[in-house]
Amino acid sequence: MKTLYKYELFYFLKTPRAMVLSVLAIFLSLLSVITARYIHHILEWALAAEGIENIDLSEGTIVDAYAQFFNNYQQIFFLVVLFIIVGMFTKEKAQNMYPYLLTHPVARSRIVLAKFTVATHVIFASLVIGSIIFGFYALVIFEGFNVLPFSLAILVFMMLIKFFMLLVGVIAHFNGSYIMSLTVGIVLYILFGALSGFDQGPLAWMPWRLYAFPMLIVQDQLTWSEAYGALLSVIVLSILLLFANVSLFNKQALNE
Amino acid sequence: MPLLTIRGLNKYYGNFKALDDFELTLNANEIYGFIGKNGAGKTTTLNVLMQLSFYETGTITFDGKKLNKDDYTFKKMVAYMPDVPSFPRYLKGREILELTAEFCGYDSKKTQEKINELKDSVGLLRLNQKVGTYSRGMVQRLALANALMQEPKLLIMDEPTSALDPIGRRAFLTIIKSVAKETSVLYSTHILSEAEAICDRVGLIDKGKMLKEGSVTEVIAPAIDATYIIDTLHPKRIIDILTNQTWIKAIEPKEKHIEVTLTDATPAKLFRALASVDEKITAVYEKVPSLEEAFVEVLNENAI
Repeated sequence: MKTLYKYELFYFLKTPRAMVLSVLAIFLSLLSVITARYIHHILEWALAAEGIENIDLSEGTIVDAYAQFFNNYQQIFFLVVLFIIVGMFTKEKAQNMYPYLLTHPVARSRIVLAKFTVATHVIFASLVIGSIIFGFYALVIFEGFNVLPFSLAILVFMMLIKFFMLLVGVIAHFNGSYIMSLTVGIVLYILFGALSGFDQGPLAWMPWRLYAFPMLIVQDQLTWSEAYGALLSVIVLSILLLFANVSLFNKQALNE
Repeated sequence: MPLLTIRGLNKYYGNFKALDDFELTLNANEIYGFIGKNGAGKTTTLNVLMQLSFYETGTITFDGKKLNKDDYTFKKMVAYMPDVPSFPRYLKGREILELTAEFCGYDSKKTQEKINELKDSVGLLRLNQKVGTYSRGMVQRLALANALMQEPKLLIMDEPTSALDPIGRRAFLTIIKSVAKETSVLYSTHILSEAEAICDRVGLIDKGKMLKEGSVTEVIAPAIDATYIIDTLHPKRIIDILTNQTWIKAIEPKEKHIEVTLTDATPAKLFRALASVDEKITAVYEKVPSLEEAFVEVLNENAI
């Protein structure tokens, strides 16, 4: 398992993937703080240029920074993760790389587990780097940054990423085409985002509710007793999706 | 005891039967030539064997142990070189070999020793450069080194010389012959001269079925009728005498000799008939058929 982990880690470290994720995380974090702090100035200048003056736009706060942060990560970082995960499964098969691994005495299930483990670690590391940068500049600029709720929100966001990784993994195993898997993944991603606001009745248990949770956590507006259902459903579905990934990979012909 | 036996193997691609009650027996420390034209089922057999794809029915026994469809542990003793080897383009040749060594559980000292040994024997160049910069021939050599790195009991090779120039091909065959002192080799090819040059036994496959299996001589001899070449300056008289003999299957006059195919393998009647001819015969000798001729003959027989 250690060698498999190393092999998969090379996939991220010896290609631009890990670098792209880390740089993107740093960029989005800085962008979030700067946008939150200076957006009202920019808007004032823009409106003044159009001849509209004396409009009092309120100063950005740390809450604006949080909102910018999670919006940016959910819209851009998430999408890049989607590209990487789909590529991880479909391109290796298309380039006939599996015979190298499968001619060694390794179980197929371990190959899948190693892929997800490494991807999770690399993505989480990028998120941590991004969070530290964000936290530092938020503290400097807004003089207030609450570490604990933000860390909790990041963990919930990571749960959502992990769930989505497993979901697109199944799609990629199922149809094997990069473009097709990516298209289905993006459609589901947009659909999940659109549905995240629905929290009535059984909809409150749906995994897409996790889109809204990070922002609610940092604003201290999340009712945990209501959130457990969605969190539990994500955990259960993630486990089922992991089994589905292993099962589909086990049944896949990899050199035909 | 055979090292590898395959019995009654069946594999379908949709409605197409790629392997049809396929059988194979490979003994320890032999080079087994797995011969068939393109699309005969060679690569499918090897893929099934390496569990890269799956089969419907049949049994595979390796080293006396029947393999389950998902038993991957036997791969500790088997190395595979695919027809189009592919490695991660972002890794260096050395890193590929080091990873393989790790999969095999070697320590760093043994890893470096093996890499240095293979570097010389296989002719590996530019080990410290990324595989993405390698030519096809270099990838093929890396694939051979990668397979030998595993010190396998059985080395499976699928058309390994397809991307090599004639010199590289000859060097490759020499390596395979030297490896076979300690390792059995299952050598899939459609280049019959290669099989004839290095293989102890061969199996002829067509349409997913094993047509014939045995030593090169065993496969050639019964497939081709005994043909004798008679060198003479006056073929007409000899042809007149031999024509209409019941024990002669065919007479083929060539520019400087006659080729006579007999109905049975013993040439006594031919020699007696030639002794009675009052013409100068320079030489009479048996035509040695090639594996290629035998292969074509076996395919023709089975096509009828």
